[in-house]
Order: sequence, then structure tokens, then C-alpha cells
Amino acid sequence: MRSLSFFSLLFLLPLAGKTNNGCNDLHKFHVSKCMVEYNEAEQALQISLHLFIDDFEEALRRQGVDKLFICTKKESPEANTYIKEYLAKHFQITVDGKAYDFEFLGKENSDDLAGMWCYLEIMDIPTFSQLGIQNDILLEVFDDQKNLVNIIGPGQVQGALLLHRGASSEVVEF
Amino acid sequence: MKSTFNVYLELGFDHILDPGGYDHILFVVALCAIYQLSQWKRVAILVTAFTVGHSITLAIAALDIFTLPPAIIEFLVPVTIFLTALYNVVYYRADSHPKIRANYILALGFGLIHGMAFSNFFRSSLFPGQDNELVTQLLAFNIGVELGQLIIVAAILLTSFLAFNVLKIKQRDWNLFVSGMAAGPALIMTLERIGNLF
Repeated sequence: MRSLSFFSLLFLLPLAGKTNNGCNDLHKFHVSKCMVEYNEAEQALQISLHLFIDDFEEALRRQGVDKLFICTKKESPEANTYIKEYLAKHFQITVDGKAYDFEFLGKENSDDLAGMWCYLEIMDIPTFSQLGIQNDILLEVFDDQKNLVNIIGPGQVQGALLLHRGASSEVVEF
Repeated sequence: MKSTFNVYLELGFDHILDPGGYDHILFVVALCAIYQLSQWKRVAILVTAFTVGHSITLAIAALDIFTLPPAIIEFLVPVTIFLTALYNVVYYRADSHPKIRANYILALGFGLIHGMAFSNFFRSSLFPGQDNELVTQLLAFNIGVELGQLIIVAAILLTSFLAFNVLKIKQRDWNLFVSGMAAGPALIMTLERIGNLF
């Protein structure tokens, strides 16, 4: 009996090497986070957006764009263009009902190397009473994707949104 | 717009109930396998012991005091599930009532490991420069996890109630069935994650 259970364990051992089809599963959760802050002095909406690079590259791969090697030495010269294009499509802001395009200021690798911070800005925004945020980044790729949005509005009014599939936009009143 | 507290509560709640990362659910299932509905007070102590455990290490990791590499934690989590299931079958007999309930200590100790697993998720939801809000975020996240756990516990105890009263299954048999059910995927996850250790 004992040898039988020993052999059944041996049978299971080949499973040991297989790790989720080679996916990096150190973060098996799918969360993006973003801070939208209204800078009253500069009359600008300043946005920092954190995305996991492997998730983001997977989203672009599904659109037929591959081998961008974001935030590595091999990074494709077109990487920023694709990032900006994707964000423009999946991250939209309205101020008092009017849609604005953001400027893509740049990106940097986050401390843990698994993610990147993207910096966006919308200029010439006088104070406002209503902010609309549509953030469906990666929602088309992962059904458990959550997009956390932190907001600091006019008068330093703070709050947060947790957006996901089926609820990817919200309008906030100040 | 929600408050930061409500958002982190929702994150904790969703995280424990996320079917994509069902290892924590499986652990709670294994913890509850030896109980019936009328013993809900003991289950409450047990789950509280688990919560105390994971709250401690989640706070320690979130405050950057100490943490283990994710690969080690992700390997240890299914080990805790498997050992809990094994404990249920080997040590627990419905007719024996040991004075010191080793499984409370088990739940507390294994809670420490699960807390470090939660911290990977929790830390990735923090914003730089918000250190002053960390206590609020931690508290809200833990309450969310606790509420999620209570739903799992209620579901298990109700299922057990049906098993005993409708299907007329004996408690010992039910314990073996549920513990075995938890041990299977736990063993597979353990073996799968050995590869990530090296």
C-alpha cells in the first residue's frame, strides 16, 4: 500500500515543472491604478497611470502588435505611439460634459519592474463641477480586471472609483 | 464617487471571493470541513484566528517591515490547505473533544502565510505618497476580506447542513469528502508552484 502511494506521487511529479503555461504568475491579479489630480495653480489635470507591462503587452498582442519589449533595452521605437494610441481609446476624460484629449508626457518603469507609470496631462482647464472618467483599460483582455481611479478634484475634494467590466465609466460631481 | 475606505473594502471583498484565485476560498473550506451549523461559535473563533493571522502579516508587509518572495508564499499557500485537510482526516474524530484545539493555532499560523499572499495584491493597489492613508486602507481591506470569508463560511455550513439533514451523510464521512475535495487541487497547486521556487 505504501509503495503504491509512493508511485502515484511519482506519477504526479511531471506536473511540477509546468507553471501556468509559462505565464508570469507572480501577479495573478489584474489591477490598474490611476491618480487624476486637478492642479488649480496650473489649471491642468495631471494623470499618473500604473499598468502591469505583461498585461498591457498581451492587450496589444491581441490587436496584432507584438515584440514591443516595453521598458527594456530592446524597446521598440514605436512603443510610445502604441501606448498613447491604446490609452486614447480606453481612457477618456470629460470635463463639464466636454471631451478632452490628453497629452502623453512619457512613461517609466515602476520600482518592482513589473509595471510602468504613464504620465498624461490635459491643460487649460478652468475649475469645473463635473468630471467624467471612462477607463476600460484591459477590460477586453481579462474578465477580472479592475481599474482603480483616485481623484483629487477642485478644492482638494478626494475620492475613488473602482471600475470593472459592466461599469467602466462614472461621472463625478464636485 | 466613493470614499477610499469603501473602495479598499470592495477590493478586499472581491479579492477573497475571486474565483480566479480560489486558493483562499479552498483554505476556508478546509478549515470548516469538520464543523456543523450548530458549532458556528467555534467556526467564528477559528475564522477570527485566521483573520488575526493574516491581518498581522498583511500589515507587516504593507509597512515594508518584512516580506517573503512571492514565489515562496504562493508555494506555501496550497501547502497550508493540504496540511489543514490532512489534519482534519488524521487528528479529528467526531467523538473526541481535545481541550486545546490545535486547529485554532493552525488557523492563526497559516493565516500569517495567507496575509503575505494578500499583501502582493494590496501593495499593488497603493499609490505612492499616500502613506498617511495606509491604516485606513489596511483596515478597510481587512474588513472586506473578513466579510468575504463570512460568506464562504455561511455557504459551507449551509451545504454541510443539507448534507447531514437531506442526504443523511455522517459527519465523519462528510469531513473525509470535503477535506479530500480541498486536498486534491491543493496538491496540484503545490506541485505546479514548486517550479517557481528555483
